Amino acid sequence: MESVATIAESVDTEPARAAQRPKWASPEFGAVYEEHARGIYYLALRFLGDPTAAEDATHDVFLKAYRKLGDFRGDSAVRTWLYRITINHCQNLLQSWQRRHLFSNADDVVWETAAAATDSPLRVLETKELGERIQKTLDALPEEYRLLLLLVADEKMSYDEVAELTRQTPDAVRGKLHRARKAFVAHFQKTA
Amino acid sequence: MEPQPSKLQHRQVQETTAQEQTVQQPAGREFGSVDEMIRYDAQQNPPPAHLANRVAESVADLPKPARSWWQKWFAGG
Repeated sequence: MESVATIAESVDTEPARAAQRPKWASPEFGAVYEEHARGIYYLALRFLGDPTAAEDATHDVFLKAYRKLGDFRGDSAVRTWLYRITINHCQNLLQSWQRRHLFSNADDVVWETAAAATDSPLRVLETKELGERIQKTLDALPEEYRLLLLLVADEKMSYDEVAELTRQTPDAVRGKLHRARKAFVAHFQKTA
Repeated sequence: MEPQPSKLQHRQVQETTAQEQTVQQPAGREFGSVDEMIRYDAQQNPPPAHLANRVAESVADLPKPARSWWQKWFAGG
């Protein structure tokens, strides 16, 4: 009897899954969503620090993108364009929540000159712990460092694209990233 | 008389004890760089499956975008 129940379940599962698949009014936009949703959601998640807020932000970003499609001239990659909308959206949210962290230069110096070496292995025990520690670490970093680390971690983004997105030169991005990584490692070790 | 354990040995014992205490957890993972760690974290945090439906439903309520954009984009722009 158990096997019959299992078969019935598996028969029901496929149509149920099909019913769950999104029905895009525009299949092309559906393809854009499928390709970029992961990156947008993760950026929003670690920028805002809250999965529900990240989900809402991702939803709103894609709606904004859909509305602004006519304005997109193809001068930049679609990914860069979507990231720009995401960054603006998240920054506006953070400002409205008054959750922006302000740090003095002295704090930067402490992080950057901390004993932690950037080439030391970063060890964690499990995924949940990793996520929590990454979030705590990113929250403690200046917004610019946080943004650069998240953008560069996206392997589809070149330094030139990150530079364009953050309105600075690629050399400036490299310099700041070096400091951002050192600050990240120093702070990450404190979260253990 | 047994020699005193060095600081390193003492630390190794502490780490071994900590690992034994967390035996139910998945094996430890090491990352060679910050980028690698963040990439791994990104892989572990995909958007929720229902979000695609939510976006699709919301988009369906909006007027269709300008056609010229799609022509440009699919032409390789």
